[in-house]
Amino acid sequence: MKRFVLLTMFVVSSFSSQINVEKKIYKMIFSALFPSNSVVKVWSDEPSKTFIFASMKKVKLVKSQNNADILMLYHNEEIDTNNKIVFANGYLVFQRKKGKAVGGFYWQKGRPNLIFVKKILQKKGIVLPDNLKKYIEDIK
Amino acid sequence: MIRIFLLYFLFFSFFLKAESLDIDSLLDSYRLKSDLSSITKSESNGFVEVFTRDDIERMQARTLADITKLFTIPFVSRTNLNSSLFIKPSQQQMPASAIRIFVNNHDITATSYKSGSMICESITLDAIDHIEVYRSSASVEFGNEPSSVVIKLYTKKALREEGGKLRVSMDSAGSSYVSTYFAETLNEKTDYFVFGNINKIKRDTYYNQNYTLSSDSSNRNFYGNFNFQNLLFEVGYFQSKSDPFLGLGRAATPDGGGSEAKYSYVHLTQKLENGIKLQASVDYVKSDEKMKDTSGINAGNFGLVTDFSMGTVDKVYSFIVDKTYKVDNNSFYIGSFIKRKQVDVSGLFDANSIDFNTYYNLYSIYAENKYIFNKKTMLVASLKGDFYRYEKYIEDKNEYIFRLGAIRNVNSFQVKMFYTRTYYSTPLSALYSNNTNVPYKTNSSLEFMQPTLYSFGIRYKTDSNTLNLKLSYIELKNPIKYDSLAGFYNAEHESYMQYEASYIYRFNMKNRVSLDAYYGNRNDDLEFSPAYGGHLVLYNSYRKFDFFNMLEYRASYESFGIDVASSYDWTSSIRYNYTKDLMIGLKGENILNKGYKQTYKSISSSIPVFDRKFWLNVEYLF
Repeated sequence: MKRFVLLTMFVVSSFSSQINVEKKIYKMIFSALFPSNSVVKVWSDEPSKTFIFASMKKVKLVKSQNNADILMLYHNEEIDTNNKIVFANGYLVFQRKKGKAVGGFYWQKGRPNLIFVKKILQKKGIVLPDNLKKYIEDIK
Repeated sequence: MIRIFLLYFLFFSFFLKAESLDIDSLLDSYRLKSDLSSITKSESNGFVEVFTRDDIERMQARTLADITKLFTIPFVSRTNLNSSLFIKPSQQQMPASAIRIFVNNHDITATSYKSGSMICESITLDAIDHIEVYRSSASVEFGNEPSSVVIKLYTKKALREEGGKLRVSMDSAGSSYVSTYFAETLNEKTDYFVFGNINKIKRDTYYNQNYTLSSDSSNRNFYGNFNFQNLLFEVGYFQSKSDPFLGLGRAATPDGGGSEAKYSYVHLTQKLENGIKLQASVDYVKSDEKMKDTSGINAGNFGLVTDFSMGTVDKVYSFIVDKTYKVDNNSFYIGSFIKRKQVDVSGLFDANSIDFNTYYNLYSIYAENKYIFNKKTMLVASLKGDFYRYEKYIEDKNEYIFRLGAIRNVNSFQVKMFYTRTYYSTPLSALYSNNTNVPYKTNSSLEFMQPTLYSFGIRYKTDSNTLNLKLSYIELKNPIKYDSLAGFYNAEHESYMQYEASYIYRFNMKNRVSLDAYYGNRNDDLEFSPAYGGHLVLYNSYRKFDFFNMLEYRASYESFGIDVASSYDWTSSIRYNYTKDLMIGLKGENILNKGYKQTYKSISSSIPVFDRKFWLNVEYLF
């Protein structure tokens, strides 16, 4: 394992700053959706992303979606969302989960997009802070 | 001029130092840091320079030629037939095969067409995500034919697009440029991307002895890919039609004619679960040159002719297999390819005609190992054997490439050293002409050019500053020359030194300034082109505006008895992002009209490589 880390050292160093920004974006999303939680319990369907959530402060990565506050979905597979808050991390996932996802963070038109869905926010009784209100869209 | 740049520099120094931390800025920062070059770039493949998607967009670059203006060594110029050529400082033109252009994994090359580097002006960039330029490379690691400069163009990924773009540009001379692309992911394993472009480029017209030297051109491009699981199917098409410019006549007095090339390819890439990558491709290139010049066009054994018409049809079939795997601290890359390159040549020279065809097979096997010596040091070794088997009258050739390199990172410093022993393949048009020696006096016993490169570079990098120093020494064995009486021949070996320095200061993610300078010196101290030069480049953003400014300087030089003054090329772009989806831009090229001029053997004055032009550019994302 140590050797593998050494071998990939030259390649992965450029990713670290990208991941740091990604963490900041997730932190902002979690703080907005769960303003009163001291720890946000996160479940993800993408194994390669779990290390990001596991390394975030005030975030706990859980193995079962039943124990999660939020489901971070990267794939289209049908899963039991169990009335949990769903966040889509891909364009296709967001399209597929339109009736369920509270928001999406995905690439479109060559840039990352952040969207919160008005209908789901109202349904879940979530009020976003002022700095995120311009990302709310009235998607049917 | 200098005062304007100084004021501009001071404005961005004092007002843009602080980086905004709002959410839009965070998303923009994520976009910039997620540039796909962070995945594709390989430091061990040579000295690499990256032009990110953001750079290309802020430059409002249309073609690869816009990017090559930022190159230090080599820099771009144009041939007497209005195609691109690359020159090293002090030198005459580089062999076309010394520079290879790849679109993803596909080498833009052919049998007689030599190299994609000649069609820089035709390769449009709206389908391209980012560009990597590797120097001091042996290109073993790219699994293809040899070159010392590799330009890798990576197309946009459907996964990041999910939509399309329409771009319309017009310039002050009446040129027009329209391009569009669309991308969609159908499901997690299937996506596609399609791109199309048409453009008509109007160039300044010059006159020689009452003959018009026109170089207007029109181009059409198409690119498409379909990705299913680990299978990638790509289709590319370039069509370029140009007026003759100087033509081929001895006195550059063209009386009509022109050149046209149609280049198409399909490329299939399959990645297997065990790490093996299989590639198969077919290239088809149809090229025609029709020239008329009463001063006489040299047509080899037919002597001087007035009407010169030649067509070639190239077909290239390639099959490549390679694999990368890791053992302990080693990353091994092994591969092999087989290529068949064939050409059909037909020509009419006044009343005399030629018609012949030939082919050769190229078998190649190669291996590379990247060894991590310790946390700070990587060693690289590459070995490649290329075996040429010709159909007719040309002796088989076995060529070998050997490369050693070391990269060491110490705190903010990175040191790179490469030793490369490689060769440049000689085009068939110099080796074989069916005994007619038309239109060139060929030489079937030509030896391939064999450069040996010694390169050393040091980089100092902090969050805001990057300083690069680079030194290269090149020995060239068997340089190939052409003489209208003797034909192609191998000349005495040459050697060359080149020095490069660059400094980049980043105010923040979207604002930076860079300075570079270069100098090249031949062993015989002759100068055929500017010996030194440099760039001042500024990328800036302010609110909804993006700015790009480049001032390029090249020293005076004397060639073919013509004195050429120092050149100053100021290129400037302003882009207004009206909404996230609609951009309106203005771009000025060679604004001072004092840009680089090229000398030619057939004419007694120098001619600008880039015209003074002003473009209006509109881009809409949908």
